[in-house]
Formats: sequence, C-alpha cells, structure tokens
Amino acid sequence: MNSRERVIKAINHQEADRVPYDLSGTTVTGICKGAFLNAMKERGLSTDYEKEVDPISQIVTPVEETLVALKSDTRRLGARRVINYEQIRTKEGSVWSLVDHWDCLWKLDETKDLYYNQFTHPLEQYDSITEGLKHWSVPKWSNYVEQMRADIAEQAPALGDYCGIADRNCAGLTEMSLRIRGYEKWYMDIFMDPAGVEQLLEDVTQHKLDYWASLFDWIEEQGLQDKIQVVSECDDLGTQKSTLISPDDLRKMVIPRFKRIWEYTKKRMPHIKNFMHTCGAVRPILPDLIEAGLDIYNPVQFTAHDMDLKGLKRDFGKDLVFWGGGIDTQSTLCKGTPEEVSDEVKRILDIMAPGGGFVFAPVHNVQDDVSAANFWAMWDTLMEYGKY
Amino acid sequence: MTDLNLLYDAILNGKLEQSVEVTNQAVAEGIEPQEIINGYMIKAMEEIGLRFQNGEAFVPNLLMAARAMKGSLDILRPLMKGANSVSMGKVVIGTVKGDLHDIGKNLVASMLEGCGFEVINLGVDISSEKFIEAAKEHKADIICMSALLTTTMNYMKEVIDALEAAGVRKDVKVMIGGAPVTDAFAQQIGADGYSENANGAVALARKLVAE
Ligand code: B12
Repeated sequence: MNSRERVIKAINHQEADRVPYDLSGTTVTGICKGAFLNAMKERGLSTDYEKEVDPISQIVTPVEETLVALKSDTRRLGARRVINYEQIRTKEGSVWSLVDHWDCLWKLDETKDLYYNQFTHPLEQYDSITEGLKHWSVPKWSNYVEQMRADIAEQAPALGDYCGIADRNCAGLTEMSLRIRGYEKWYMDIFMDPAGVEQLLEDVTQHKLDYWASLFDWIEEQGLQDKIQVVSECDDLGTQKSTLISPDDLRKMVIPRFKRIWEYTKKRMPHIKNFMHTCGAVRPILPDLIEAGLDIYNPVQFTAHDMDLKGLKRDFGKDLVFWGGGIDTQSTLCKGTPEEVSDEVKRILDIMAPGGGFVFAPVHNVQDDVSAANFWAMWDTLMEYGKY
Repeated sequence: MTDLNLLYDAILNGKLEQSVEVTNQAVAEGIEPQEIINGYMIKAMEEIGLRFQNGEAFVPNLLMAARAMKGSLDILRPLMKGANSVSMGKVVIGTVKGDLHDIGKNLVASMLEGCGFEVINLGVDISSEKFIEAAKEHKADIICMSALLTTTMNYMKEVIDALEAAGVRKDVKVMIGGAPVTDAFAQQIGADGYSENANGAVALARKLVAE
C-alpha cells in the first residue's frame, strides 16, 4: 500500500495498513528549524531543507530523502506564505525584517526570537475599517500567480505516490483581518464597525477564492488532479477555553464564507476532502463547520475546554476525519519524558485509530523546545503501535 | 438623581458614551468617586469577567467593557489625586520576552484596573531588566507576567531569579498566567500565585496585597 492509498483509506473512514503520518504536508503540521536539526542529527538523517514555505513561524520542509525516511505520507503543494522571501528580507545587526505583500512589517531578532513577529498593521491608523478601506485594499492575487506557478512547479515532482495537499496561501479569514487591522481594534470593530468587518472578511474571501482558482487551473493544466486528495484552509478561532469571538458571530460572518470556499473547491475538484485547521476550544461550532462542508478537522487541541478525544470521536467521528491530536504540544511533547510521550501516543492511538478517520500529527507544529529524544519517541511509537 | 445602575449596564454592555455620561452626571451630583468605583464599576467588571469565564462573553465583549470602564475611570481618576488609599495596589504587567501574545494579558490588566488597582502595562516582549526597572520606578506591589508559548514560559523563572539577584524579590509579589502555565509550574519557579483567568487574577491580587 502506498502513501496515497493509505491516506485515501483513512480519510474515507477505513483502516489502512497503519495510521497515516503527516509531516510538512501543511504549514500547521510541520516542524520548526531548531527541533528539526536536533532530531535529524541524532539519527544521522540529512538536515537539509527546501525553500522556506512559512518563514514567519520558522518551520522547514525537510528535503525529499528525509521525508521518505520519516515515512511522511503527505506532500504539500501551494504558494509560499511569504512570496520572494529571500529577496525581500533585509538584515540590520541581528534583526531580520520584511514587509510582506499585505503591507505588514515583520521582524525577527536572532538573539532572542524563535519566530517573526508582526510590527505594523496596514489599517491600524484609521478610525474604522470602513474608512481605512478607502485608502488601502487587500492585494490582488492575480499579481502573484506567476510567482506561485514557478514555486509549485518546483514542489510538484514530490507528489509521487503521496497524498497531495493543496495548501492555502495565507492565514485565515479572521486571522488576516486581525493582521490587517490590529488585534484589539478588530475585535472591537465587531461592535463599532460591523459593516467594515464584513467588507474586509469579504475581500479576504475573494482573495482566497482567486488563489484557489489559480492553483486549480495549474493543477488541471498539468493533469495532476488525481495527485491531490486534500484542500487545506485554516482560521484560528479558539482559545484554551472558548472561541475568540462568539459562536453566533462566527455563524453569521465567518462560517458562511468558508462554506463558499468549500463549495468552490468541491466544484473544481469533486474528489477532494476539505481540511481546516482551527485551534483551541471550538466544539460548539463543529456542527456548523460540518454543515458548511468541512471533512477533515485539525489540530484537535484536546487540552482545550470540552475537547476530549473520546467525546469528539464519538460525537463527530462519522462526519469528520481527525487530522492531528496525536500528541499534546503544550506539555507532553516538549516537557515530558520519552516514556510519557510514548505512553500518550499509545493512549491516543487506542482512541482515535479504530475505524480509520485519523491521520497522525501532533497538535500543531513541533516547536523548538521539543528534544530529539521526544521527537523520536513519538515517531517510533507511531510506526510501531500505529499498525492496524 | 443619577441612576448609577446605568453605569453598571453601560460597562457590562460596553457602551462608552453612556458610561461617560452617567459618570459625569454622578460627579456633578457630588457622588464620591470611591462609591462609583466600588459600588458599580468593580461589580460590572466582575460580572463581565464571570461571563467570560463561563463562556457567555467573548474577547470582543471584554474589550468593549474595558473601554467603557476606562472612559469612566479617566473622569474619576483626577478627582482622587493625593488620596492614596483609593488604590488597591500597584501592578506592573507584561508579556515575557520572545512572546507577543497580549490579548489575555491586556484583559487581565483591564480587569485589575477596573477593580481598583493601578496598572502599569509594559506591553509585550518584556525582558527581566524592564520588569525590574518598572517595579522599582513605580514601587510596584505586584509583578504580573503572561506567556502563551511553551518556548517562552521558562523565561518567567529568569525574571524571578533576576528579581532575586537585584535584591527586590522580597518587595514584590509575582503572579503568572497564560494558557500553558499551571499552578505546579508557578510553584516550581517560585512565583507567588497563578490564575487561569482574569477574574481569578483579581482575586489573587487582592489576596497577595493583603498578605
Ligand atoms: C491569538 C493567538 C495568536 C495571535 C496573538 C495575537 C495577540 N496580539 O495576542 C498571533 C497570531 C500573533 C499568534 C502568534 C503565534 N502563536 Co499563537 N495563539 C493564539 C491563540 C489562538 C489564542 C490566544 C489568546 O489570545 N487567547 C485568549 C486569551 C483571552 O486567553 P489567554 O491568553 O490564555 O489569557 C487568559 C488566561 O490565560 C489568563 N492570563 C493570561 N495572562 C495572564 C497573566 C497573569 C499574571 C494571570 C494571573 C493570568 C493570565 O487570563 C486571561 C483571560 O482569562 C492560541 C490558542 C490557545 N489555545 O490559547 C495560540 C497559541 C498560544 N499560539 C501558538 C503558537 C505556536 C504561535 C506562533 C509560534 C505561530 C504559530 N502559529 O506557529 C506565534 C508566536 C508569536 C510570538 N512570538 O508570540 C501555540 C502555542 C503552542 C505551544 N507549544 O506553546 C497556541 C497554543 C496554538 C496551538 N494550538 O498550538 N498567536
């Protein structure tokens, strides 16, 4: 059974030969540079990686030979999150900085930062979003299509017999809005400028639809449809305890727009499954997301409120594939012992693997505080204990 | 007579204009700032905090409530000059070095402020030097540290060690919080307390200043 067949089984709620494993198939199931280098060195694997897809979170895509050795069943196809990263970044002293195509300024200080942090928001200076949108607008995706085509042409050969994931080009609908307007201002705009909030969400939705159209055009031109099984979107809607904005506001302003995106992806590529990453305690909106066309849910942050895995599998296991939730990344993977890591992976496989519908990935990217020993404890246990 | 319940409602529902209007009327009628704060403002902030904790209110509601509260407080504060007893205590708060998450930290800051504490909000990415400098300068009773990342929470220990080294640890209480932080972690690094939410943070701060 090859990787593609394995994942196809899992996402159709069937048991394959083993639980599929996703490393670097999306920008939320990856590994940060430091953790990657440590882990690969320990087992003598190549520490080389591809052009960075998402330098902001400092994750890396291992080179093909390493992905093969790690038995990752997925390969990503999609625009780079920071277009022309190598050309647009500059360095002064220890500080790297760049202005991305959304006019956001990001900086990373090598002496202390593990990630790029955002310093400016293009609509922050205005009294309202409505006012700001008279002076600034969401970038047109058409300006970047050529660059995307060059980038994905480099990625495509790796699709091989793996599950191809068509991955998003930017953060989620609310996430992009927050980046553009500034965090606290946007939250308050929900009350003070609801029309502006809707307009900005709409503009970002359009940007995303244009992206998906351009990506699918290329895939069709190349005749690669059969190599793509999953289309991946995201929007971090939850905190440790609840959703960030109310479920009602999400139902009104956000979920219908995802529905439009998912209808479009299915129209263009009827055989694909829609994947979404949304952090935190989001149980109340899972039925709405399913209704809107969601097939695969990530990252399954089971340490958040009311997100216990057994309950999720019981209540949503028929409708949703769980992609992630393989091990906790807020405590066990980074602070536990290798034995604790291994025990937790076993415990979770016992809950999630039966009947398929589960693809293994930790809750979110492996951060730099994860030791090589813990990474391998996770991996060894999965490969050994994840067999059906 | 002004109906101060309207102030309570204004803050709870995040209505800045109403909050300012009612506060101005109450002041004109000679009502003591202390009575307005204790009787209505603190109650409203506690209620919104409770709703948030119970999943009945969300980040936008808390931000709007804090905004309305601040509008009222801006009117009352100058009237309380010199009367030191009005402040429950001084708090220096910040998100630790390397960490940019500040939504929760700012909510905690607003709750403390709305509940009578004087709050010096240092922002995000705060080094131990900055915490110490601010604590000394403002003669803070409490230092509050927030971290949302497992990669940055360990820095809280560095701050506590630095406070120790600078000889000021005995003068301030240290409170910590943020999603990955736990009670056990707080004890382990020698903090004086931890709370998992903004209301709990206020209760804890009250307890610590009373000690
Ligand atoms: C919003 C968010 C962001 C925003 C932050 C915007 C901002 N201005 O704050 C952005 C997009 C910038 C961001 C960036 C990143 N994030 Co982030 N983020 C979140 C998210 C979704 C919600 C956090 C939040 O605001 N919660 C709402 C508030 C109200 O809750 P709170 O902060 O916990 O605060 C409450 C309590 O903890 C307490 N409290 C807080 N502080 C204090 C202090 C004291 C003294 C006390 C007593 C109490 C207290 O009271 C508050 C109110 O009740 C969480 C998900 C989660 N599960 O928490 C991830 C999360 C924290 N992020 C995460 C990550 C990995 C990142 C990034 C590295 C990027 C990435 N995705 O790869 C960067 C790092 C940037 C940096 N250097 O800090 C991970 C951390 C994982 C880990 N191993 O630790 C999380 C858990 C997501 C996940 N599922 O993995 N993020």
